[in-house]
Amino acid sequence: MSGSSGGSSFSSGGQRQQDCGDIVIRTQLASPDPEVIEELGKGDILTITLASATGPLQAITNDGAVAGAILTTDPGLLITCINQGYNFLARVLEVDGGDCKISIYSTGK
Amino acid sequence: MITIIGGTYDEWCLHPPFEEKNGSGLRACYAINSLDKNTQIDFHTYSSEKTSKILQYLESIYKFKITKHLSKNDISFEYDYPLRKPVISPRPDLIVKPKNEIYVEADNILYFGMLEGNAVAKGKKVVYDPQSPVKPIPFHKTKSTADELAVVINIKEARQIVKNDKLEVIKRYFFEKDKASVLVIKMGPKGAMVFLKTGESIVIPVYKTSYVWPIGSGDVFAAVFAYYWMENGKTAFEAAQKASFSTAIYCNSRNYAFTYKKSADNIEALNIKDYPKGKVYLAGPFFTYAQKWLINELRSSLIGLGLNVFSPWHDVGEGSVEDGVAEKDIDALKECKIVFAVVDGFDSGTIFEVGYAVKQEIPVIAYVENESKPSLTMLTGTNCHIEKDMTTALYKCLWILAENEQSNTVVRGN
Repeated sequence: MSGSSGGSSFSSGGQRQQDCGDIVIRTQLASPDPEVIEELGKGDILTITLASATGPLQAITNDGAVAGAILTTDPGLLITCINQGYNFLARVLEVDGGDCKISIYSTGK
Repeated sequence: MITIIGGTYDEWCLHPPFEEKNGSGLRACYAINSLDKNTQIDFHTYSSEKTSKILQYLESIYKFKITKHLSKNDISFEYDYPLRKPVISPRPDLIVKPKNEIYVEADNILYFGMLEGNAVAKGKKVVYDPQSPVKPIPFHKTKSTADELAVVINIKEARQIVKNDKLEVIKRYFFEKDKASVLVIKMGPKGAMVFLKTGESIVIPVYKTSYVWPIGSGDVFAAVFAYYWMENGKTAFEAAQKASFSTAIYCNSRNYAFTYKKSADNIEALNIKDYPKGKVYLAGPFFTYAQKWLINELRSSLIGLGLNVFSPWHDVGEGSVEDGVAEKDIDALKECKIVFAVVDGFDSGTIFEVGYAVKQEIPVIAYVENESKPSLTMLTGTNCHIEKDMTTALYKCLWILAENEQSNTVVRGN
């Protein structure tokens, strides 16, 4: 990494308070399982679950396979919301070269 | 087992949008884990209480053992776009130094320089990458020691440390002062050079990819090199070759699927012996602040890639028909070897320049994010290189220009 110094943050997130029901996060699956995501296509829906009360967050297919883990800059927010009873799904935006981009959204309690 | 010492930082990019917790150290953990899930990773990093919670979460996903050395800083690297120098927040001179240095003793250590403070490493095999945008520190000044040391460093940092541009002087410095046995110098678009203290050396090629994501590519190179050299028993030359190819996979996909069978698709080696001499004609509108900002950034990025650029705005200026602006621009266009055109908005002057270039058989990179496929029919049908991503478009400009110059040299040589 190289860079200059100074300036203020244009922060696109992380600092602001968000209601669980309003969360929309675009990210890519961490530690994706290539064999599982190879079967996925644009528009497919994954279910976000917690493997334990503290994590990790996982994206599960309709067949029950773990497609990958969810890694955001603030995983604590999603974990807190799920522990409060909110449900989350993820829409597959793109599958490309072992990479799976998703959009996570809340479906309420 | 590999011990990694390095930073954990937030990384944000405005366009393409990107927001991840990375930093050199954490990214190296991901890269090595992806290469070999059986390799135990022992990661040492400075982290705030907030970041420590996220690292704790990561330990639930990956088999990393993470030692968090408490720091008061949450550091972020903020990019407008991947080729732009990031803004570091807080400003490096305002970062609060932790009271204690990190001390690590292990067999195999990958050590990245950090913004918060120093680490003292004592290892049998150590790979050291100074990774400082502000003040890179040579290995021996960190008070670290290694039975066998490989320094992996980019050419700008090497020149900054040695305070000399000559390769021979740089090599001597790292072999004598740092007592390195291997020196890997990353040369950006020109690839990398690997030197052994025993005198042998090789040039490692870069690779052409269909997409270019450069943020973190240096971290991935160092991590993959370290894995193969320290853990997998490969020679420094073999490790650097694997590092370069894996870095291409990362740049092409933004992920670490090095072993995924389709990851190598659309990647081919490219040997750039020298930066191209031919000029790039930078075509695009410059009527509004946003347009001027973009043209200025594109010009800076092209120059940063080692290219010569003619920019009508910068080199001729704003003027009228009476000032002869059109004639001056066309005269310059005839002399250029490639056109980089900002096509969004279909500015009449830009489209005229693209058409003129096509007629003159000058290759055209058409950077266009937001126009429909039918509206690009004439550009597509005349073999203009249509590219949606700005960074990828800039790299393709370099690659096409370099390849055309080298093939012309070969033809003349025959």
